[in-house]
Amino acid sequence: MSERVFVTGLGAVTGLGLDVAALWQGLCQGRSAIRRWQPEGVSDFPVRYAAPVDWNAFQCAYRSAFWWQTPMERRSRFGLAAAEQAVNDAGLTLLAGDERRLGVAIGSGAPERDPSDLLLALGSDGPDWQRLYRRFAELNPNSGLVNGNDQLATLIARRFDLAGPVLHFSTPCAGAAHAIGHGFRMIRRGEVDAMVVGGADSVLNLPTMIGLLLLGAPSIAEKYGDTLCRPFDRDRSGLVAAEGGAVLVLESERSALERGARVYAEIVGFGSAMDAYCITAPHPEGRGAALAMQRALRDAQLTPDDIDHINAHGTSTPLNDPAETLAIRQVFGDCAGRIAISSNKSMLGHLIAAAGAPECIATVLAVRDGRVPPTLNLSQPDETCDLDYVPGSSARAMPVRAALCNSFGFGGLNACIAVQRHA
Amino acid sequence: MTECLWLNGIRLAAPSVFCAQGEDWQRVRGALDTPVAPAPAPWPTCDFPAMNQAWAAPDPALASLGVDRELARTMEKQARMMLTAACASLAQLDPDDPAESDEVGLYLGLPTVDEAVPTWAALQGWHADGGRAPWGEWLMRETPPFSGLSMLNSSAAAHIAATAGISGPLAVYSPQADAGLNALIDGVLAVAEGECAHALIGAVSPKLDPLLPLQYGPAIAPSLAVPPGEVATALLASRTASSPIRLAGYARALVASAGRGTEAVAELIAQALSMAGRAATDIGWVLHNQPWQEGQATALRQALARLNDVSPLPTLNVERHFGRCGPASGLLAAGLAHEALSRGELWHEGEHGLVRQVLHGNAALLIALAPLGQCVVVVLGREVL
Repeated sequence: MSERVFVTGLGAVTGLGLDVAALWQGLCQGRSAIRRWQPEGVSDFPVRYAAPVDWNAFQCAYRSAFWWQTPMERRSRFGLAAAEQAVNDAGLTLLAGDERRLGVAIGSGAPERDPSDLLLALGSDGPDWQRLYRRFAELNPNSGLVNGNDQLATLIARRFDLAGPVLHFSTPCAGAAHAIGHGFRMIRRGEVDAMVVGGADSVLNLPTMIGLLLLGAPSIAEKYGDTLCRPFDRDRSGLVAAEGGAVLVLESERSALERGARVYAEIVGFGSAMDAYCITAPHPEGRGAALAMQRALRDAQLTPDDIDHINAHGTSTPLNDPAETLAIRQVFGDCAGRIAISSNKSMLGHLIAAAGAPECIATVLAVRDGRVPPTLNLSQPDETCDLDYVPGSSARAMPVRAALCNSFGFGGLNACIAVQRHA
Repeated sequence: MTECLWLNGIRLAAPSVFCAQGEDWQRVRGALDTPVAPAPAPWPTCDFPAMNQAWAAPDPALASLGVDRELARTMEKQARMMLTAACASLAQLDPDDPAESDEVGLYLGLPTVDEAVPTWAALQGWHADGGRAPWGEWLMRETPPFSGLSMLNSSAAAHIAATAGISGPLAVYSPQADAGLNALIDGVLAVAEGECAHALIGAVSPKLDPLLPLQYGPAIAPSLAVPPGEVATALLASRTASSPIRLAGYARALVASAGRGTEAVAELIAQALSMAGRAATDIGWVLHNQPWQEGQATALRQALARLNDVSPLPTLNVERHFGRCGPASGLLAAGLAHEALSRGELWHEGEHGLVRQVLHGNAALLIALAPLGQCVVVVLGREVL
């Protein structure tokens, strides 16, 4: 059995706004969500920019939701809101089918930890585990210490009474892409009729940002202010962290046709690969990235000639961007120069484990609308990044028959999704 | 019944294990004959009695795998255990069938990394300093340089890939008991669907950490509490392995409603058996993890009773004997079932402890229940080659 897999619903909460329209308009208009940012608890944190969700606006929009009072991590709130949008967008007739054939796959990263939880252990004699054990009821109920990282996936399933498979993926920056890819595969092989897939993450907390900072991942550049996220530019200096959630409804052709669902695009392939190189750096020639793209093309039965656009991982780090460029050259050969490549992270920042979800949505809409978002802040070409990255600040109108969406996780855990125009 | 033919020909081989009870299957079998009692837990006494004991595995030495000490120090114990078990399985790849590195995929079930944030030493230091420095500044100063690596559970996958030099497809599932069996299912499917020639499938428990009582204690019904245990296990799925054991069927779902839990679990068992083309009478052994809530326990008990209401099937609650071990529980069950189907003997929960007996039937049923309701059922079968 091999079912075609359609995208029939979209939802997103990002720094560009609280829905998919804000995301897509923002990307196409070259609007940046990156702004001055400082974590709570420190006065002079070296990382000074991030792409946060507008928390006040988010609270106003969702504090009346019945789930608002449920303890959960910040990222789960973004993910649950995005899932509500996506399911509503797909049409509630989606839920009229056999609930055992509707599942969820979500990618998210390391738990959000509240360091003040540990202060509960302190007494006049210093920290004491037994004191902390006795005070477990006082732990922050919204922290990752007491909420498993599969919580969001199960919350989404319970919210919509979905009783099919519920999976959680944990492959850092490729987590959401893996969730989307495996959801796609489950529908294609006939295991389920539809999957709610995507990711949510928020690393904009002090412990996680310290961890990223110590690894040298985020940019601490001062020179460019809020334009410091410069994928493929000569002066790129590191990622800019972000937060948010994005969710897609994937559905079998049969299910979509039966209920007359609107189809955005078709997911046609998925590929993944490991760099097998180094825990802290991508393979310098993009070996795993190239393998993931090749596998996605093979899975989709597409050739390099068929691809018009690549939504790049494009982190704005010194190592990723040239490696990804080499990988694209290796896979696409002579075709590489004519492919429109863009990095949404130049505007959205890096949503870490969730990154693949809004970027897959942007890929789906690029295919549907024939518009490729720009790579913002690319003003000084780098000789090691010599492809067409759609520089500028507005989307390029062009036919997009098929596209790839790249997500490369820390430690060389790579994924790629192939999207094709629905005909 | 319609047997799922496309799973035919994918063999499960080279199971490995690394746990408190032993570092090979012979020792683990011995520990089922003569159970190893849990030791006092490596943390102060807490109010959750079962959490005051634990089965601690030794800390694996990685030098023989070519991992230098400096790199090993950036790994959490659970990552070191996972790497050890993964390499042990991979070492058993048929030398006459050398695999291209990009033909070996990796499918893991991993728990999150539980570690005090800030470290306990940093907290002690802050207290000794009289709490003068602002808390956030202290946290910044005292966070270990590689915490971003070690706190990321998927680092284990990256370490395995780099150490073993494998660049096939991958997936990492997290964080509970369902994760190990999801890794098994999707690893086998990756071979069946032509993504890779071999899938290295592994799962590991959370390392023993003083934070575990805070996470497990309140979440588990007191009557269902068992001490935690450290377990890592792995195996290979391959078309070319000579093993007669294969994944014959599976089913997975969220059992969200306690009210219809029995029906839901029974349906999953029926689906998995149907996919496997097997009847309940083919099942020689049932292995499952420890349920989390009373409702789950009831649903499991009743669903298994429906499977055979004349004489109960031989059953092993894996976590009762190896400890609560998260993602590792399902794959440990798979490893034990592999041993049983290969050797023709099993261990059954008798009135006075475990009883070794002859395996009747050519299949084993594995069930994993996660605290939030995910349930995965797998049928492993033995066939004549």
